[in-house]
Amino acid sequence: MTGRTMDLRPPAVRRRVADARERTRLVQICLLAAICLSAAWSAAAWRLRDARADHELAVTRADEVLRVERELADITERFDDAGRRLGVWRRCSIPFGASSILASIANDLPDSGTLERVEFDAPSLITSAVRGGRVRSDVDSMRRIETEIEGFTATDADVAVFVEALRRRPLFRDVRVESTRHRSIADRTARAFRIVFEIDLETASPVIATAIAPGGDE
Amino acid sequence: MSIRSIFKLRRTPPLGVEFCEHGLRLVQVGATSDEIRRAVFVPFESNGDVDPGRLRAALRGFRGRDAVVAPPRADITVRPARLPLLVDAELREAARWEAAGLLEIDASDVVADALPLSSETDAEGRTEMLVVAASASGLEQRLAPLITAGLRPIALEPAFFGAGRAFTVRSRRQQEQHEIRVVVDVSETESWIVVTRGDRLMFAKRSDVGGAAFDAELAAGLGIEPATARRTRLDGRDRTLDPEVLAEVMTAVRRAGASLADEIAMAVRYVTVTTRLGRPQALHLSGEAGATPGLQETIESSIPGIPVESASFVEQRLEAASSTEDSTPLEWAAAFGLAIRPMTRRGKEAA
Repeated sequence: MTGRTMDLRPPAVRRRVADARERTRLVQICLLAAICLSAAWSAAAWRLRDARADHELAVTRADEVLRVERELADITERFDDAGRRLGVWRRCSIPFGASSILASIANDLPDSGTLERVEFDAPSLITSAVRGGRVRSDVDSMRRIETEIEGFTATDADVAVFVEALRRRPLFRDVRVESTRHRSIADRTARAFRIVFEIDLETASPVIATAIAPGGDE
Repeated sequence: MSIRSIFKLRRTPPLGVEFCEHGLRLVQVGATSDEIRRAVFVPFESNGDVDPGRLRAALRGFRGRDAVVAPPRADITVRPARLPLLVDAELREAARWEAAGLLEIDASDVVADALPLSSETDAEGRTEMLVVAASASGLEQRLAPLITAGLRPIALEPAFFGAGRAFTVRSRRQQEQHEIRVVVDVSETESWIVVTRGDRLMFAKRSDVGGAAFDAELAAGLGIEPATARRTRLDGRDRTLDPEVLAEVMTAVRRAGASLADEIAMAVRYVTVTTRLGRPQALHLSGEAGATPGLQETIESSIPGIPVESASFVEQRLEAASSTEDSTPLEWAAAFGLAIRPMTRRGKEAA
């Protein structure tokens, strides 16, 4: 008793009020817990919705990546197949227009001349470095065809005219007469010859021809 | 306004519930001021009981359901006694046993508390106290309809505590703790003389003189029925009576109130001697019959030097309550005092 307050409540009333207050407090705590749970539930639902959207996006992107990878693998396979086919074709085909070269040589041949043998040798196209081996730096990297022609004409002058004609061809380089000899054909004399030259495929390529300016500047 | 006050949690103030002669007075003040925000009078049923349904309907508009209740004045007994200077539960227990002996009733059915009048003890360690007691079962019976209606009584105080507190609402500061006041709460059937020091109640005494005694004296003097005399006395509060009738009322009040005035004078002397506090600075009248014409003059003549004055600050607040009913502001003083009971920690309060 302080003189400021007094409390004459009977014990039963005190207990009843205390019980009511505890019930109220319990209800308040439950209410607060329910509000917190609702808030947590809402936040979780919101995050779940976001996560589901992210997952769907990720699945879509993954499908896209898998599709692209499949396409890439398909393209790679097709590329390899094309490479294999090209290799096979290279192995079994002549890498230049032999008929047009033969036609050019035949046009330059004098009237008295006859071609007996034309041989094209393309070692620079066939030879490749062994894997792991050293590439010789002195090997000419130019793509060229070594050509050898055998035949005969009536005179040495015709052989000379023929050689001059071949030298005027821009594709033929290093045209030289390996040998000439006397030969009798049907009781008539003739001059057999063997001429060697190289065909420059780099110059012959139409792509290089357009890339190089007439003055020689790239 | 400080930063702390902005973030301070404000408890909803309790309702002050006073059992008066004809019903319940319910008052609630605002959370931030002592101004009355709602006041309702709930009349008793014809058999004198509280109707829980009617009370529940009346509670609409009040905030919270905590209530400080004052039981009917007749349910409370106050006796002087000499008890050891104990505190809290021990003092209540000692007061309970003392009250059981004084009232000659079963101690298990008694709730009691004690109001020390002095801090000085005798050779046996005892001091003068007022034992305030009531029947536990009787109080439970009184509170049952209130609890049924949804109220939660957080304290049960005598009505005179509320009346005394209402007039000490401006005496809470440290420099006002030595101000001594006398509050006389005059109800229809009895009166309570309360002496306060600062915001503490120091002494309380019951008197049999109330409004009914004035009515009986007036009825005998004028040869009229007591009910008519009561109506005449109530009209006299507003000074609307003929001067001759008003003079008769004041004469009757002077005769009937003489014994009350004597008891007030005795109480003032007793407090002055026992507590050695000095003379009171002022006396305030409250209660249903506190505004009876002639009563103030009667009391003033018995305690010369102590002015009987109105507390304008309190009456200004009580005006808001009296506007709800055909009543005077002073009738609401006890309920208002209950409503402004200081908040205590719940754990301490439960103890």
